[in-house]
Amino acid sequence: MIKLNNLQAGYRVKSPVLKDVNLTLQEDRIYGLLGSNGSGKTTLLNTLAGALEPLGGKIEVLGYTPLERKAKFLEQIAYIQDELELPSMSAEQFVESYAAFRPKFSNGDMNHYLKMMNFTFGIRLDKLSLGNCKKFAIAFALASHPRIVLMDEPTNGLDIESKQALRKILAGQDLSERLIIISSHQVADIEDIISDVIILRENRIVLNSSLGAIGEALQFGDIQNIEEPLYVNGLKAIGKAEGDYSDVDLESFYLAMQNSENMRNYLSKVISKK
Amino acid sequence: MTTQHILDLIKLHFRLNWKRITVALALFIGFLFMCYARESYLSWHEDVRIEQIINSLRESCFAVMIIIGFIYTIYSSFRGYDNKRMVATTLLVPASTESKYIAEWICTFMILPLTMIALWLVAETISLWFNEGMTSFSIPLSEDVYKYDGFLSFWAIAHSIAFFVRSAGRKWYILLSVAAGLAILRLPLHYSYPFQNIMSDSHVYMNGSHFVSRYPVSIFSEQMSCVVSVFFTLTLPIAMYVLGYLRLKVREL
Repeated sequence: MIKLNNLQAGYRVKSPVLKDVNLTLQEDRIYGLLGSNGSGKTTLLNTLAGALEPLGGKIEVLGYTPLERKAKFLEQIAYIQDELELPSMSAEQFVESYAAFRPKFSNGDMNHYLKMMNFTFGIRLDKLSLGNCKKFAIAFALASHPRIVLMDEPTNGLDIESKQALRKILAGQDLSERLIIISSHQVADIEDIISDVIILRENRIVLNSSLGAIGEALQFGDIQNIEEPLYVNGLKAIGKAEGDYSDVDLESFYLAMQNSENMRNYLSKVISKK
Repeated sequence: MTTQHILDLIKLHFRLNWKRITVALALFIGFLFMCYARESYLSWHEDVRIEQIINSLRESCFAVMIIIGFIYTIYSSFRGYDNKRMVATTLLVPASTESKYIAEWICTFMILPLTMIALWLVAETISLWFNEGMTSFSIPLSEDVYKYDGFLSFWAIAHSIAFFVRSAGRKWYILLSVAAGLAILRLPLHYSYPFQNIMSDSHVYMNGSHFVSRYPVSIFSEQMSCVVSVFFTLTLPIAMYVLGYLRLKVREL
């Protein structure tokens, strides 16, 4: 569904934010996009959505070139930015205005998602709090049933109950011929729902793997239970797998990948062998 | 590009900008009311004085229409220009680039200016109808094409400035095209001046026994000059749109 070949992206030609990115993303997956501040997560999402022209390389999303912003392409993609600004109108007016461009939009689904996230109805959209803005944008995007959903820090500003509701909503999505990419700093918010992880570091992709492959290659647990830990994060440790599949401790794994180049190379090698 | 998308985008534009449009029209209607509701010119019995007052009113309305239109166009075109959140929302509305261009052009270049011109015609028609004696002294506003031509020229310049800045195309290429378009636009504006208002017009003066116009004479007839001028006035912003479209983007984050 998404193919990137030697992609360079950013806001200035002389200092691209992303360099030589090669990535192929498949449908029926929820990808978690992790990386430190400035590593290029938002730039990647902006480029996939067609809001930013690549500085080099090739990008193909659903067979389209995103920057051409054809109507058929834009109908199939929904992008929820980290920072949102909704127009000065009521929720009903917004739906009436913007749903006209989304042939698969379902008002029933949107109301259902909003109720699950305890959205505050009856307030003009430009007067909403950040959390409620996010809830509204997420509900509208998911109710449009696009094939690709891009979410940049969707849990920012959400309270604990809403985060839980969002996880339920995403876990319940029908992913046939669809994919979702979630960029987040809050690893704990997404690790239960994603199927694959993409890690960015220093403007490059250092890992693109399914959690299943990671769980088969490595074991995660308490430090006293791991005989030869490869990496230690407080009381938790990562070691080589000993046969059984291990639930991935995504935060520890992410920190291990950020630790050193040797560690990154070693872990990537171990995972790719599986 | 679909007609339905264009209509939906036009509805969206008015939904987002109705306050600004209302203020612009209210200011213009207020000014029209102040100008044409006065009855003081009825006290003037001299024909020339009445003619001067009518022309003065029209010049004032013309100037106000240009100011309101210019400010409205520039403000609307640059609304949210620096705001990345708003830019993304606009860019990614699922309609083709052509539909977005056409809808914006219709909203800012057709509907509002035509509404203002229509209001002006109505105001003057009502005013002159109540003051029947005045109709014989003035050219009806509907025939004073020079004013519409000038108004659309200023409106086109405002649009061109906005699109030039917002366009992601090669700026020097667009600048050259705009300069060429404006140069061509100037030619037909220099048409033979109608000598109907010679007594009150400062651009016409007596040289011995002849009336002389300060305007240079054009190779076109008056009507053809207006047609050519309006043609270039309308196509200038279209040209800007096309040039921006050729780069396949309007704005980007």
